[in-house]
Amino acid sequence: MRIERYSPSMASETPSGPSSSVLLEEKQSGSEFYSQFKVFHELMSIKVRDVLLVSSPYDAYIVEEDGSLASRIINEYSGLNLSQPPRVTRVSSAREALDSLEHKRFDMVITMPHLGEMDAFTFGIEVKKRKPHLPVNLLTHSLRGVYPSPENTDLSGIDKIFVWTGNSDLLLALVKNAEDRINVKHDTARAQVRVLILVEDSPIYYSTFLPLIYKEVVRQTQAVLETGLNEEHRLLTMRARPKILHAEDFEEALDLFREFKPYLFGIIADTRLPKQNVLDPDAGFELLREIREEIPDLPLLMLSSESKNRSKAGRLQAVFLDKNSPNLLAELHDFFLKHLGFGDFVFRMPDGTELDRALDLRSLELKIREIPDESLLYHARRNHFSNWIMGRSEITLASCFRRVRVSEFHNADDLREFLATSIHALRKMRQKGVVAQFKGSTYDVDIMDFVKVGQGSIGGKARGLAFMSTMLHDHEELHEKFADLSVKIPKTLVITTEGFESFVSENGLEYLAKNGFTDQEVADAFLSAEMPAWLAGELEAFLTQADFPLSVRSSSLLEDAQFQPYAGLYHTYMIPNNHADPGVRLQHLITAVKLVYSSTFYEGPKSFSRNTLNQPHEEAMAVIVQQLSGEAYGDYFYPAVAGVAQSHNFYPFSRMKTDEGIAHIALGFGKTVAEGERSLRFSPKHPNILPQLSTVEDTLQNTQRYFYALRIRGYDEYPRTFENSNLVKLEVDEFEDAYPVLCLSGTYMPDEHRIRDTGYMSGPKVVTFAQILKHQAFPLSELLTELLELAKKGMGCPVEIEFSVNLGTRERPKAEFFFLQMRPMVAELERLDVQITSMERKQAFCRSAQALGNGINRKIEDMILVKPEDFEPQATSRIAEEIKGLNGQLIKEKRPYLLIGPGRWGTADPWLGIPVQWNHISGVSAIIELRNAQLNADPSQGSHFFQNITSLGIQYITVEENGDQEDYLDWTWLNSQPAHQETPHLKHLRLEVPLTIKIDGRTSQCVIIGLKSLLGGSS
Amino acid sequence: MTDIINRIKERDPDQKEFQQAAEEVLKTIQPVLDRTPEFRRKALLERIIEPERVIIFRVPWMADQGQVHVNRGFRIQMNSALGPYKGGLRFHASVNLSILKFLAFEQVFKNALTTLNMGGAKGGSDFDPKGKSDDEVMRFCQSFMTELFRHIGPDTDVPAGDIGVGAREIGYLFGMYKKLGNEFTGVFTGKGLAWGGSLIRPEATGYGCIYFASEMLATRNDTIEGKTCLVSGSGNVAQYTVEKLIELGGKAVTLSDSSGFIYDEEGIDAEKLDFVKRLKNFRRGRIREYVEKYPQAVYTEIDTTLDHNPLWAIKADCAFPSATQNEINGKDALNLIDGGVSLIAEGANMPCAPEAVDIFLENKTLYGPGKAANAGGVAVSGLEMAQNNIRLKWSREEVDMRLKKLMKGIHKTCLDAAEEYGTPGNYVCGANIPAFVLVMNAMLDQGLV
Repeated sequence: MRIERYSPSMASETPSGPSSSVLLEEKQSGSEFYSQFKVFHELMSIKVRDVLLVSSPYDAYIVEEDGSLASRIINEYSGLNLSQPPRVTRVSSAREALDSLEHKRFDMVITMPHLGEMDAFTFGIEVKKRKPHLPVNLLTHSLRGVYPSPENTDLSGIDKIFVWTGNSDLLLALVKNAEDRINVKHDTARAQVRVLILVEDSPIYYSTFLPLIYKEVVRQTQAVLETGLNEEHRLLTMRARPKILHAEDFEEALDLFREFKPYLFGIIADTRLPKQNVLDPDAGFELLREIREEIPDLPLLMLSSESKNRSKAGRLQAVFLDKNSPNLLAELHDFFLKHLGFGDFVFRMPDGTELDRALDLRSLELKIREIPDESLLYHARRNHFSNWIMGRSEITLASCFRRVRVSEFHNADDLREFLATSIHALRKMRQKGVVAQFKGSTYDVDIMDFVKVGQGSIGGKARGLAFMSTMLHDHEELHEKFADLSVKIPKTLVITTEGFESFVSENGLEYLAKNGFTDQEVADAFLSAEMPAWLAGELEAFLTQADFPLSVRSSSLLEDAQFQPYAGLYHTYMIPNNHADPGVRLQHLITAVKLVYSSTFYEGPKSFSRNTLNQPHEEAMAVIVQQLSGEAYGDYFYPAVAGVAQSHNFYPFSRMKTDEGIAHIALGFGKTVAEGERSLRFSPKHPNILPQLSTVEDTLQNTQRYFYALRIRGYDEYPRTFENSNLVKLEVDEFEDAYPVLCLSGTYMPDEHRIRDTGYMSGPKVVTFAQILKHQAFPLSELLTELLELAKKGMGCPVEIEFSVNLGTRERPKAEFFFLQMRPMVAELERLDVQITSMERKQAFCRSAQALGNGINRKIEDMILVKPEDFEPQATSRIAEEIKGLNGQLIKEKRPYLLIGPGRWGTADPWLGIPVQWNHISGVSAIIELRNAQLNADPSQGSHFFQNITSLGIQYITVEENGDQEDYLDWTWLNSQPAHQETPHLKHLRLEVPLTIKIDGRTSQCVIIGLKSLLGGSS
Repeated sequence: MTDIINRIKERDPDQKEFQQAAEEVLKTIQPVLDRTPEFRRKALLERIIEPERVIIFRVPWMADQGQVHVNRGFRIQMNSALGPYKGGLRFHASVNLSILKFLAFEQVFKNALTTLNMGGAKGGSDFDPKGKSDDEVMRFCQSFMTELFRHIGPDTDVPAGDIGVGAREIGYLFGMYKKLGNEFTGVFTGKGLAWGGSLIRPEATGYGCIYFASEMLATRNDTIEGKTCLVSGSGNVAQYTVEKLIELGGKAVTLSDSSGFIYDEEGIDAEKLDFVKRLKNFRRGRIREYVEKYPQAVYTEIDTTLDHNPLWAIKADCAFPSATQNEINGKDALNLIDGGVSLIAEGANMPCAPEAVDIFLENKTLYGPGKAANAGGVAVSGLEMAQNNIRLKWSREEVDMRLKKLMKGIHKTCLDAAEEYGTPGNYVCGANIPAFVLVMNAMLDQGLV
């Protein structure tokens, strides 16, 4: 009998190699193998084998994390259960889901909120009608609209709500938790399996903690695996790993405690818990006290966001963990380490001396090549490799290793080679799929659109890119329809989070995660740190083929994933990458990567993170190094058109419809659009309707005057530190003869006061895009319509895409469309009813027909308003500073506020509105944007800043004061409120009773009611 | 007089805009009525407030996606005593009968003041071109013209552009008229240069203002030459005001926009003006960029906390407010006089607040009200008609020369009327009265028609 050389598919055999001469004795059949441990088979007897996942394709894709979910399950969780991971059947609509339930048996349903025709709560009820005992979990990107659940929502259809934090561990934790819940009684009784209880009511926190706990438990289990030599012991441990039970309130926790008291090995509890249905700030403490009295030595962990509870925990001899601690993860890990302990693969000499450790397959492979023969043989003979790999559920490889006998190899080197290549083959297979692993020797820039470096996550933005890339490949009809142009993503290399982690830890930069360092200090520290050699090597190899200008930007784990576009918070650097000396090119790239890394620890992201309950240190960052789309024109490099398109239009005009989407485009790089500078807005369905260009005056006033380009000759040798990118701002007027300008502009004829739709006439150039939009020189609007439709279907919700268009040069015209980015829009138009009554319309001091958001807000007692009598357009920058001051105070006092002022909030042009940055208003809860005679600018929809606002669920209300519309703001009422404090341009009002802000997301109607207006203060 | 106003209110109680305009206009001509009983006997006031003809018509048109829309079209042919009806077309959501009657009424007198043979009219539709595609605008214009064409003609009624009706709309309207009437005539003003338009359109108001000012100075045996001049604004009017000033040897030292003004003591010469034109027309930038280019100039940002505009406190000889309404208040007026300014000519519409006007009149400052001083635009429309009638296209110089003559004529008319009505040198009075007198006399002459 021939030995099987391991191959991932087990389909192809390699006849050559040392193994061909080695015989395999296949004495141990699978059944034999397991029969010895029958008893443990009885543990975990009920498993979740089939999961019905109801989600849009994008949600599913995100959850899958470009194919690595399988390997995660296998690598990290298999220890929980030797059998196959659950089969996930995904359907994309509620109807399909209900159909599937009729035809197939499922053990669990996981639903995401975006189901198209039915909301998740209703769906849950429908499921329960059919299968009353089937667990239904709601997995949501954002708690807005689901928790605390809106009044009048029937929650009976949903067992638990989980929040997707961009961490694929959650899905497993969710499944395992359900299994544990079912098996706990039996398994504790049968094998004294230990039990850990987590008591936590907030979905955000338990969605974070549960996966962490499972992960720690698995590591612990695996650690035992590495060292345990006894097979029986090993299997026992794996099957008998601790169960984790989750309680959401005091009573449930106490019940669990009583029931499983003999088996408990630890309790983790939040201090603030619901007790008798009321949130009690001390219930957790009480719980732990009672438990402590009964079991004096049980490890307890007390969670709290109030650091003053630390001493209370001390009294109970409980470990205290501050939920707001910047080191939450590490501290939790510490807790587990002390009680459970876990381990890597530990290479030892036969006498037990430790030689080295391997933490994953990659390092195992590397180290197998290095360790002395004695150690190799020692481990191989004892099936350590097989066991360790089995622990990661790489069952095929593990059993292959098991079948091989050391004696069958000629010498240790043959064995070594066999083990290493087999592991390598497995790793290679695991990395297949969308994202190929970068390898200098095999990289071919022409073939490979998307590669990654390192083993970590590729981050949210890159996931979006990978998904897009697949989507583009899957839709051939798109390419057929637009045969004259190429639609693609730019060449991309992603440095996975491993790069960041290794950079930060090798250089000891973790301390900068805390607050209190200026951006400059952070940047300096990062710039002077060393790039890990392996990473620098990979980048160098990449550059030998990538000789085009590059953009370097972040792809954080959180970015885009949790419906929280960190967009724009992190920095993007663009490098010409055309220096004659390859060393200099590498240096530029490395510097840019360091600068992107350092932006993780900048103030802006930290403060954004505070607002979203994300811990800054959780931000392990991946970096996208991407081909810049564009063309060299003289000393500059830029795309003809860049822009953003959204599938949901909050400000439909004329016959545009909300769901037909909206695009903003500009000449040059998209920074113009992102920064809210003059760009052209149009609905891809109606490219002929251009409200900004209605008259010649409007056109002259509203068209772009500047554009962004990358200087590719005579540029600064050193990428500048604090610019969002090292782009230069050029004036269109000075580049009238540039090919893109000629292609995209009209010419103004002063004598006739008209604009001709061509750039090829003498006279001032006006960037109207008429040649593209009106005269279809490039099918931009058609293509955008198709792509938005695709993207929307793919994500199952409204989306935003970034793109650019390359028209080539006069000599070599070409038509390329680059899909740059895609993310879900925060148009949470969940069908959770907000009804606005006519009585409320009467009572309201503010009404709007153009409000963003959905829901009822009753937590605002503070208002900051820009005093109209003191407002002047030239003072907007000073006003922004004043707002920053008040914002700081209100954040300290933890008082959300309503901000009222004229013009485009967050614009970069101080003449169009108040140019606030995110950190100027980070404590805001609702915003009113006034359009009136003082500032009659177009609404600010589309800038990144605006995205941040909407993603945080901040209500954004436009009030048209000069129209004859229903919009209304009662200044008399506002002015009658006493000022809490005043600054030169602002008034801060503090009300005794919270405001009620109601927005009906379907109709965009909004009312804001204040107490006095309720008593009849306004008409 | 009161009877007449009451009569308007009774007849058309909804036409508030028209009532107000008629009331204001009629009050200013009281002196004329006082000394001309014949006007009263022949019921001229009653006749002048009643349009000769009002045409209201349906304008159906089809949107790009095939839906049918119906708008309302209007043409108010107010008065043709002095010539064919002449007045703009306005496409805007706010358009209604009252507003158009008010505009048509004012147009009668604006046109009369040019001394050219032009009656008064106004028209338009409640169609808003904003948010419409080019094709939709074209279909609308064509539909609009299928009715309007039977009511207009080069010797009957000559429309022009106004809000919402620019070169594009005039092109579509003219094209349809040409097709329906099977004739290529000067039925519109504001046409494209290649198909009957006139040169010097953008320049007309600014140039005209300076011609008018020169005439005013001439009454004191003075000229523009060597005069230091304050100009506000930086659009077409201001630019061409400065251009003509330079040509005539004056020295413009200021320009402004909505954010502030620049003061260039050395004067804005031809080269600097070219920079401003490029800045404003091509680059669409802010006037403060002037200072970046010419550092000897000073930029002052608007300070709304002040009760005056420091621009008007600069020492100078002449001032040409060419920016916006009410930009000169009482305080500014006093500052101007203190600073040595002896002539103010309005390039913009009503830039001087009423109290400022009173101060100029009290101080016998030469004050040219916009009605007369910025009549250059209307005058060039008249010149466009003239060129169309004789099927010739005049050179820039020729149009400019005729513009100058017309402005000179307007000035003389004003001056004579002021003299005749006992307020010599008062151009306000002089601009209001003669237009009425001209129209009324013509109506008188032509009998009850």
